[in-house]
Amino acid sequence: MTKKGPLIRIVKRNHVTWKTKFFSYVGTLLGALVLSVLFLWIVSGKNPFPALGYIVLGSFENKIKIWSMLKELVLLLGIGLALVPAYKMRFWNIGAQGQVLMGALMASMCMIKLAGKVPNALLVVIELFAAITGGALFAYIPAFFKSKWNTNETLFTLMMNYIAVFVVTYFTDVWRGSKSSLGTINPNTEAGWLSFVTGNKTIDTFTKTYMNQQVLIPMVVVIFLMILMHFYLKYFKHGYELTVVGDSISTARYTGINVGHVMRRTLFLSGAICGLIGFFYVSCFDHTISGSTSGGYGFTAVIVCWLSNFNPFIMVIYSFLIIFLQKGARNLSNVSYAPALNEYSTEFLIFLVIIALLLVTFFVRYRFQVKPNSKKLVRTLTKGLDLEGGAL
Amino acid sequence: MAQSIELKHIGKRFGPVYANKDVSLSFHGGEILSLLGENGSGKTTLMNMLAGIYFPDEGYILVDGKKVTITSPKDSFALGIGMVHQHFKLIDTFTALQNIILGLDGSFFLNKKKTEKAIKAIVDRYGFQLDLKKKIYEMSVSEKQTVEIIKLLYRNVDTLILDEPTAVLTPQETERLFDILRKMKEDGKAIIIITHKLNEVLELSDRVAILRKGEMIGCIDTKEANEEILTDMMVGEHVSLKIQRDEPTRRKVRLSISHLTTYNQEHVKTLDDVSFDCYTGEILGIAGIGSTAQKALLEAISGLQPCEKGSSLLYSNGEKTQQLIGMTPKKIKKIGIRLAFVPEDRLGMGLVGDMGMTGNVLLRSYEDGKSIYLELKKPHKIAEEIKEEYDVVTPSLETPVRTLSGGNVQKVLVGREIASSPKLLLTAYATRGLDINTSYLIYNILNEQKKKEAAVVYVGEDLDVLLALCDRIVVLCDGKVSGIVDARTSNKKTIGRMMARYEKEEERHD
Repeated sequence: MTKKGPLIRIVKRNHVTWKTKFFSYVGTLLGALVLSVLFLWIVSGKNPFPALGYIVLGSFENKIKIWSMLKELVLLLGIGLALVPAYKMRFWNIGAQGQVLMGALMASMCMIKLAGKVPNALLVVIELFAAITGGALFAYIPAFFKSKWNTNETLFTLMMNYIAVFVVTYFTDVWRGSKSSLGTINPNTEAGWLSFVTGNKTIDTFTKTYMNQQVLIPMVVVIFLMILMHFYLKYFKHGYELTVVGDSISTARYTGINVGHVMRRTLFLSGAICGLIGFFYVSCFDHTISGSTSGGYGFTAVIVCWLSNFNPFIMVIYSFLIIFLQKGARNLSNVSYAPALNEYSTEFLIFLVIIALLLVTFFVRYRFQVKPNSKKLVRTLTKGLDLEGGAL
Repeated sequence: MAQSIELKHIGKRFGPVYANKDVSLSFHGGEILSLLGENGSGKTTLMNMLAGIYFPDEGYILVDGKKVTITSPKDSFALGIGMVHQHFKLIDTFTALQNIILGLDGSFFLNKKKTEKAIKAIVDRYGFQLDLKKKIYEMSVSEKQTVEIIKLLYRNVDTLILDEPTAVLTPQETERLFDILRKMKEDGKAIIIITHKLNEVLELSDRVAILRKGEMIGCIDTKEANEEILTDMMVGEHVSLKIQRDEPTRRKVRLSISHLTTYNQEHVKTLDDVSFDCYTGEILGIAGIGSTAQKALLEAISGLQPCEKGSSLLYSNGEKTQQLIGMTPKKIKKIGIRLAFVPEDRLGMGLVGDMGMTGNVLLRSYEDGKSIYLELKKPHKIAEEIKEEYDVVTPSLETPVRTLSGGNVQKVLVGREIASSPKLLLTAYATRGLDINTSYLIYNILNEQKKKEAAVVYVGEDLDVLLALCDRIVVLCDGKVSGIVDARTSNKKTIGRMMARYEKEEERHD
């Protein structure tokens, strides 16, 4: 500890009060807002406040936009939830992208191969099952290698993403035949499509008028999943085990936890949820598949997961914030309020806010400690360090 | 000209504990100096200050009569000082050559031929055996050590420090190393070896410096030393401690260990045919220099360390006798054996740093019951009781234990282990780094367990404590049992000698 180390060191904070946290975050968001206004003003040369209005309208202008925002929110949150157990175990799964794609691929395969051969309700169930299995197995592979040969999970899951993209591309190429693209699957029969149509006239008219029937089921499922994940991590033996593994593998071994087993089981779960989201992509929303089906959400979810410190409920806030900014930025570039605010420059706003949030998250958890040259100060500092590190 | 180095009144503290206190030592080129001392006597810390790993809090260092400041290994190399650490600092996927030139300043491009020639010259000069193109992960421990030494020689160091160089070597390899070290000495280099093996000290070195509890006890010529003088200096005079000790009651064999042999990950023997019994109602001390054997012993008993064929660990609860070999910790718990283990690495192995007291108490019982949910009420209650009974200072039961002070961390760990009312309690360095009050609290807890007829195993490093607290002491040396003594009648010197030298019974018969 008293090693004459670098001039600046990073120290973990211990007691951060709720108040400090709250004001740090609110302050940061306000700061990011001020910077955004400045940015808009400088780039467009116009009054920046109407531009802020367009950002809000991006998500809330009308019913369609609200539901579109909710759809994206559900997808991003779902993938984020999938990552939580893995990250809590400090297994850095950055392969959500690939796991979602594999789920989507399995669902599409069922839709194409089984359409008309089984009743629609059964087809949907088979799709769901296939998608979950696909995603789960795809995440299980890196966990298996890590538990057996201690391979690096970050590189492994990253590479699995590329494999997934190529596998999907191969199958879409086969399926589309001579057509230029795969297009909508079962466009006429709608076989294997999942939607909230009950057959009850009153309910269906109501949901059709006031809601979006596509988003409804995934939304309910993801909200349910969020609550379940909270309980899984906090009150289930599984959740406890994976938290111990994340904290210290030797403590886990000492307690008698089978570390490899917990690792594989947790990643199976993580991948299964990704597969479920893949199912939603194909069966509820896109009704088709391509290498870019999940957009960049597999990676965006990593940020969401980190910012929320693996808390499923806090994750809603961050998912919303990111979707809100994305929608806002897109809207701003579409309304041609100022020519300079095109799709590229508006993206900068998202970047600005996320960077600000990452910084504040970092400083709430850690702080810099500058090492002065005076020997006496070194001693008092290191004394403090020892207390914090609990080294003695 | 031969280099001379002087350490003057060096002091180094870690928090309230002095690792080195007012240590003065000098040495010069053309001699081999041994640094001798028990586990935790501050040998490595002292040398780390020469190697630029630590910076002294007190005192200063003179090289060739000039005061110097060493703040990094680079400074150290510049002064011609180099150290081979106990855990080698090599890059596995690099070749020997790449590792040797790693980190050196110089031109942007490598002149491979020239470097290779220079290294070859060193290899030939001292008679090393090394293939420069071999990658580190393909090498044996001895070869890795050779790379480390050549790394230093290539940097033209005049003073070489070797931390326990023979701990990982076979006798033949040790001989070869000693030959090389002698050649270096003839070459005018200063060699310091940190060790606790007396025979090597006597065989190799010219002078020997002894450290005890961070202080310099003396520095004598090897000619004037013998094993007895050295052990006496190492263990020191008897200090009487007022630790309560009751006569053991109703002794029955709880654990019978026989022919226990283990290897570590580097395939070096850590325990060698160890046999002894643990009884109920007694505290059995384990003494020894170094801690690898002790660690292997406790981990073998608790199911964390695989044992060789022929090893036997017979556990008896009075009615039934069970073989523990081959059982996982889970299995041991499952068949109802109440075994508690307070490991050496408290936060890294015994506790979950980011969880509060409740979460940590849960560690021992979370699996209970068939439900998939955790049962939190009982652990919460136990955590509260531990907090009350042992005065654990913590803002709340949910405060991460990593933020607590060392003494409180140990109270949580010991408290949890005791809460299961163990029949067999294993402790490793249970009072290391703790203040006097907490240490005595721990001694009392152990005595309580003894009264409750648990078999208590106390691995310790302070011989005074071992002699005052335990009923019997098993002394280990080089992974073997070198003797079992009665703690009431034995003394420090006897144990010290047993710790330092294993007398092979077969040889005596010959």
